[in-house]
Amino acid sequence: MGIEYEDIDGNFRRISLSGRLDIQGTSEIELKFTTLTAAAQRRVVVDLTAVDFLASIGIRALIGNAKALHQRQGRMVLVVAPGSSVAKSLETSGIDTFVGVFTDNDEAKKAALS
Amino acid sequence: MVYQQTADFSVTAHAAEVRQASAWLAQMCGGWGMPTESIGRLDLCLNEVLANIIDHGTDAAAGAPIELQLSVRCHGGAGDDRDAGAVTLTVADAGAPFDPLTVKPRPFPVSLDDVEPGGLGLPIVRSNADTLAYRRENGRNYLSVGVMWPRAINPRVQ
Repeated sequence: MGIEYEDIDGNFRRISLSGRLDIQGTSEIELKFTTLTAAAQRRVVVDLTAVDFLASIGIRALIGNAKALHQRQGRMVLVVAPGSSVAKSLETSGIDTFVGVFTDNDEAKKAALS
Repeated sequence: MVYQQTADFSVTAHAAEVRQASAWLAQMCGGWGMPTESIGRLDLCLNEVLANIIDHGTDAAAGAPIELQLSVRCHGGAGDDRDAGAVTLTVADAGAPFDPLTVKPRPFPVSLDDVEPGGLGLPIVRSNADTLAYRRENGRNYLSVGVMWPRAINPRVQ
């Protein structure tokens, strides 16, 4: 399970995850992911297009960090490949009703910064 | 012609073994001609069922074997295009009696403030499985999850 990030324009951070977000994969990146989203008022785009499997434990980690960011006046949005099983898992969880899920990086960035 | 086979695997309730179980499932189902998308659906169900057993199990149960069985029934013999079929995954564990089919679906949270971290696994199983069945026998839970291809017109299990 891979996790990388890039800081762009001040408080905007782009995090890219890759691999399987199953129990093992989530535990491998969880601490770094939390650390990367920890700062107050940070705007974050999480790119899941290279994630090929998203189980509920992975969704739980995404929700936990989105919630923590929200409570610090920050925002997290997600980018997924259209029609992917990752997109469907997110839809099943209902997370897409309160965390923005996009298939386009520019739209995602706009939403994160708005 | 109809092709049928079963395969068995055993894991204990640990993260690394869940991944091995996924790899076994993908290998067996791929060999049976199951399409990738269908394998992905069954793999998600496997992960969620095992995660549930891990989350709700006791320390004593952590080392206890969880038996997995895959059973395929498809059209087409070896070397043919297997254009239709079904694979059923049965997960047997010796934990406390638990029938996931009796769990009421939770209402969706409406905002980040009221979202709870848990309870996401069963909706994922319900939306990916074409069939679901549970029985309790000889002190073990048996949960059977079936995925068909091509997917049935009304596949949703409520």
